[in-house]
Amino acid sequence: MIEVSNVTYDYPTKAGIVHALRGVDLKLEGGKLYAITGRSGSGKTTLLSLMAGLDTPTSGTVFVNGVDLAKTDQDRFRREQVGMIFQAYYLLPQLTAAENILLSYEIGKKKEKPDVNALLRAVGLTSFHGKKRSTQLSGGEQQRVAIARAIAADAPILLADEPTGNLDNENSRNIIAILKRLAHEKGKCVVVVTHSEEIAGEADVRYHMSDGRIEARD
Amino acid sequence: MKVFFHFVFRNVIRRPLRSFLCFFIALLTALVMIVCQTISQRVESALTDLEKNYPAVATITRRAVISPDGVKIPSSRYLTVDEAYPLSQSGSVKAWNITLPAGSLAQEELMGKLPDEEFLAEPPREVISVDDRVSVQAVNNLVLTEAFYSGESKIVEGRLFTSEEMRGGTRAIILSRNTARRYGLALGDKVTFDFENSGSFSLYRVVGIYESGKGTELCYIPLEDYFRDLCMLWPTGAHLDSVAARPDRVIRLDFLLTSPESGEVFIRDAQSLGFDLSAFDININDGAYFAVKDGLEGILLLSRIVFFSVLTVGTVILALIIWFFSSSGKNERTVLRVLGMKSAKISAMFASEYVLIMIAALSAALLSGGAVSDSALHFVERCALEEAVEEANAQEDLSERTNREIILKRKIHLSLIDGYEGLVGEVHAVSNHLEEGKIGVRREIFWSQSGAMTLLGMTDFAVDGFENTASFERDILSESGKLSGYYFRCYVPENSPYRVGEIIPLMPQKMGEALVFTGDLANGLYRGVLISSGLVVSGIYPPEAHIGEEFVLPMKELELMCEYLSISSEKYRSVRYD
Repeated sequence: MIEVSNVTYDYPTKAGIVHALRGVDLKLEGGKLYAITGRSGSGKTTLLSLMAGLDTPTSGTVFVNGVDLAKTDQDRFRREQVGMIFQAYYLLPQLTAAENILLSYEIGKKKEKPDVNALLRAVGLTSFHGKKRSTQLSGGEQQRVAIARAIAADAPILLADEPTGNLDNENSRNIIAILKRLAHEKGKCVVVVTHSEEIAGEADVRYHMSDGRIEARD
Repeated sequence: MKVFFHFVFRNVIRRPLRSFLCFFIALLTALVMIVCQTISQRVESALTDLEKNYPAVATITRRAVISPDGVKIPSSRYLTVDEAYPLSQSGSVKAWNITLPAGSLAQEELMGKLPDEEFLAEPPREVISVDDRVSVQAVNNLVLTEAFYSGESKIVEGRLFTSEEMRGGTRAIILSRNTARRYGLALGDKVTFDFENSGSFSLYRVVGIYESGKGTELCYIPLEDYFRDLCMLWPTGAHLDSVAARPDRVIRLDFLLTSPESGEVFIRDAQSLGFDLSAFDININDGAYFAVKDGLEGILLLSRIVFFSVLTVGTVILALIIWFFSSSGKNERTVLRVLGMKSAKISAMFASEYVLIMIAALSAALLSGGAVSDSALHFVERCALEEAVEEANAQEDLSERTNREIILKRKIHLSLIDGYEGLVGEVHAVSNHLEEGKIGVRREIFWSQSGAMTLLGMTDFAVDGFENTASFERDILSESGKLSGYYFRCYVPENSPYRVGEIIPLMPQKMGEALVFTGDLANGLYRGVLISSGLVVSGIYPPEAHIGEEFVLPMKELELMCEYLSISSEKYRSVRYD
């Protein structure tokens, strides 16, 4: 589904050029939960951004279903193929939880309106939560709403950047359970970037990154 | 597009703090700018009106010297019309007026002018006298008279005077509609006026009829015609001395300037024309104008400073607010990008939110701007302009009190609010001049005798000639002086209504030449020729039975008169006393 081929990514800073990725090769398939671990600055989030089409590699290619991502309409790719979850949730504070969930539907101009209540239930929330502004929800609830928003896009790829970073253990386990279920039951390709060994342990495939390279696969 | 606007409207409503701050600052900025702009426009309009309508008058008077004991002694040198005329041709002069002392005459060369041959050869088709309901005014520019300038009077038939008519000699007249109706006159008809005590007639052709909103019945004739025809018929001083030719003595000249700013040009013109500024004072009455103008310019400057200050400060504050909320909206941009919205669309959406708020603020400012501007204008008018106008009017009052001989007082009415009328200037002649000489200054109006020229009632009297007074053995009780020109001395009985110096229109018994309507005193119709001569009562004698109440005149005078009138002594009823 996703193939990362010899990808490098450099960016300039005042101190000089930073080589965030140094020739990464990866192959990811649907129906599995992948975990990418590594220390801060190892290039995990950069790799995720390139896979989401939010940036383009300095060299190398990211293929999605055999198509070079750099040569496609990346906005459309994100609308149709990718759902993303962030550590900071990135919910719009002026909207209710339900409206946040419907954002991907509104932006993606999808014909079928998703069942918001079903989505809320799927992430362990109720319609009561849907009526609340995101700022009125707890961290765990906000992250569930973010997951629901990612699911609402009905995209085959789910990319999660530290989705449990701000959550307690119980909430973290719940979130991972949801992601695992989405991979196994819905056949999605779920990629989770995390520091947590516990969460990484739940993944079907685990990659470890260091200094911009994939060092190991379990 | 629907989704786009849905997002825009939703964000504007759901982010009330940002929307309110932007709206409030934009509204405040726009409102202040509208108010300032309105004030600037009104003030500019008022300034234009002030310059256009302010009746700036340059007054030339004899220079006075203050004696050691504080008595004001005017220079013995008088102005003459000849001296004044070149100045009247200055480009800075719109109109001019003359004040003469009572009894003065124009210069000698004007004295002898008589109606031309055509006039005598072709009696008028219709002749009318002027009664006490009609006033005649001589003008040098009819359009600039107060009645026409203000729009109160308008020509409804015919036309205004042509430039040729204004040069004099063609004798044109413009009548009011009421006057025309009353006398059954139409365009092309000819009118003859008989002037009070002058005993002379002048023929004028009706070239225009006007209608007056106030029912004014003034008749207008060109000023030059007045000079040519009527100055010589000015022996209204009731003294034979005054009839004697002597130079005109102008005590005061008023020049209505084209604009208050042209005062300096006028003085330069006067100097270049060699006008003797050592003997005469030129006072330009523009103090009130400059006082009000300074006030208006102060308001204008302030409103412009406020306008640009508020524009700058408002823009900076708005930019800061937008910058602040844009940086806090970075997360939103990320979310929307991740969800697949194009960057350009996100930027356009954010921009549209601010545009929407600005449109709302601007609309509110425009809607409320009128009311706020009116309030602001009232405030400015009350706090700044009224003060300037009052100060200017007070200056006028002060000037009038300190120098009554010079100042033409004007009261300034200036409003920023009521219809941009700007200014209604009034020039009042100093009253003592009017009273003193019964000739005075009004706007665009030259001499008028008591405001009207009225027909003297004519008496059907007989005229007798005599060689000397001793021949009929009666003493002349009084005799003032000798006459010149086409007036003939006569003596009247003591019980006649005439007094020394009065002029009796001469009506020889040559009938059928024309129909003359006389005034109320005449009490009826007379038939006779038109003449430009008369008898001047030169003396009064006591009544005597064998003479009766006849008027008598020296035989030589009688013969001269008959010769002048081309009538033989046979046709003229006279009794010779030897």
